[in-house]
Amino acid sequence: MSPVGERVGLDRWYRWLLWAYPAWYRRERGQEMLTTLLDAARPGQRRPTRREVLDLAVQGVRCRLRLPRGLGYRIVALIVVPFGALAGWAIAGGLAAGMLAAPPGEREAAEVAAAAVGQEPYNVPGPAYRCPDYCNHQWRRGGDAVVVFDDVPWRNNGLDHTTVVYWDRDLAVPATIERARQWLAADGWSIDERQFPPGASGPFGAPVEGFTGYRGGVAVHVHRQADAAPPLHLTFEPGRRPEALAAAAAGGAVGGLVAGWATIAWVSQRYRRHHAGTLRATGVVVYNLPILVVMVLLGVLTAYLAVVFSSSPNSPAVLVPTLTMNLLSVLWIPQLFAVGIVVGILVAARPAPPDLVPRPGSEVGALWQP
Amino acid sequence: MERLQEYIDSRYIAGVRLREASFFILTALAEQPMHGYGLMKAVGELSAGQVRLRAGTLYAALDRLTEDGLLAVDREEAVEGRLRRYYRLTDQGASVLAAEVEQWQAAATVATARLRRRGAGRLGLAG
Repeated sequence: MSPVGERVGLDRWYRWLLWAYPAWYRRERGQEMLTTLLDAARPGQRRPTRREVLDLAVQGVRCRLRLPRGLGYRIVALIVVPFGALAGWAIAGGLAAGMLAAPPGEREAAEVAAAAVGQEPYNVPGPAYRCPDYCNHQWRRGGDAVVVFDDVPWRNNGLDHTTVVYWDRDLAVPATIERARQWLAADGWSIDERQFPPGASGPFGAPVEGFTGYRGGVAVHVHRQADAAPPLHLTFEPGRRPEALAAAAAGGAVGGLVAGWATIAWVSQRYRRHHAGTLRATGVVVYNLPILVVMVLLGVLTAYLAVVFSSSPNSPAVLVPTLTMNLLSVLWIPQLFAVGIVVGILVAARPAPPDLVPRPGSEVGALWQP
Repeated sequence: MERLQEYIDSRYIAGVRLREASFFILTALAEQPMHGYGLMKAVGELSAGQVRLRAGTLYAALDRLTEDGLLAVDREEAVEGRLRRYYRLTDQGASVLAAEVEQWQAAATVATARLRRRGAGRLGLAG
């Protein structure tokens, strides 16, 4: 390739790499950086070196994520970014919880229960109940049952579930639980003991013994209550191990944090470039209105999902203290305060351009100065 | 103006020290304005090859130093249809660099004196 051709090829490579930088930066610095990069290239160099690629990629991303200097920008970021993380946590957790398999139907549930417990429920398919709306199910005393709960969205996280109950007290013994544990484990179910720890009690204070198995997006809770009726339950519902959902939620939190930071950095940079020192308070509020609206919406969404999570036994809420979940459910209150603070800062501190030195004794623009 | 000076003092003199790359960039510009590639070469030479700036890092440093008022754009030229921007040291930049040099000189003096005493002590023990 001729030297001119090599130069053109290298020029294209560098232009492509400069896309790591935001558009406004490329407009201001792109040509100049390209000149420097080509000046620094070795004779005959056709492609950027690995170090050059890494350097431009890292610095480009840093440029995109950099907050302008000034206390005001930092305060706004400090308020917005945690909400981004919370929203990411809630959205990813909610999506992961939503991508679960449907619970098995009556017949399939009865077959699994029979194999696990070692005894078929009597009268199966027998009585089967559907609850299209709120269903205060009364167990039929003395008869085994397979019950399908078709739940409404605001109950049990909207998760439909199928329950197989046994009334045979001789069957509701520790040996049955152990047998079911071994059979389900051998059948590929992942066993988790945390739902029913030793000493746990169920309705009316009756002690509960049992475990939960997970497989293919379905959870089965197997437990016995010696003093309750019916004494042995196998409940199938959509579910994954809490760790899996927690991992998704944690990933969402990290993603939300990065997205929140990137958004506030982008808005702040844009704000500083275009409007610093030129906008009046009303203009500042109008300019920032979209981000404030997004903050409120994210707060409402987070609060809603926190309520939903706290009502589901399969959600990441299992791994989060109840108090935390309760706090999340009232997040909209501090959210409103946070929005108020942001508006207050924006209104109170009229920004000044970076090269404008405030008059002695004047606090105007102090929040937006380094 | 006082506030700006206070800020620069707190940031560069009493507080955070200049980064090595920034120090050499300011040093390179102390004599005359330079463009990006000239700065890359000058920093390499001044640091005896210890600091090798790449374009991304160089322009991040230039942005930071310009934003702090230590550098300013001197002029722009078009060479073979390509843009070259020259930077110069501002008065504030010269003050910061001078203060930094003073600090290093003071530190070097202390270190040299201690090394001398250490050497003298060893010789004394050996003797």
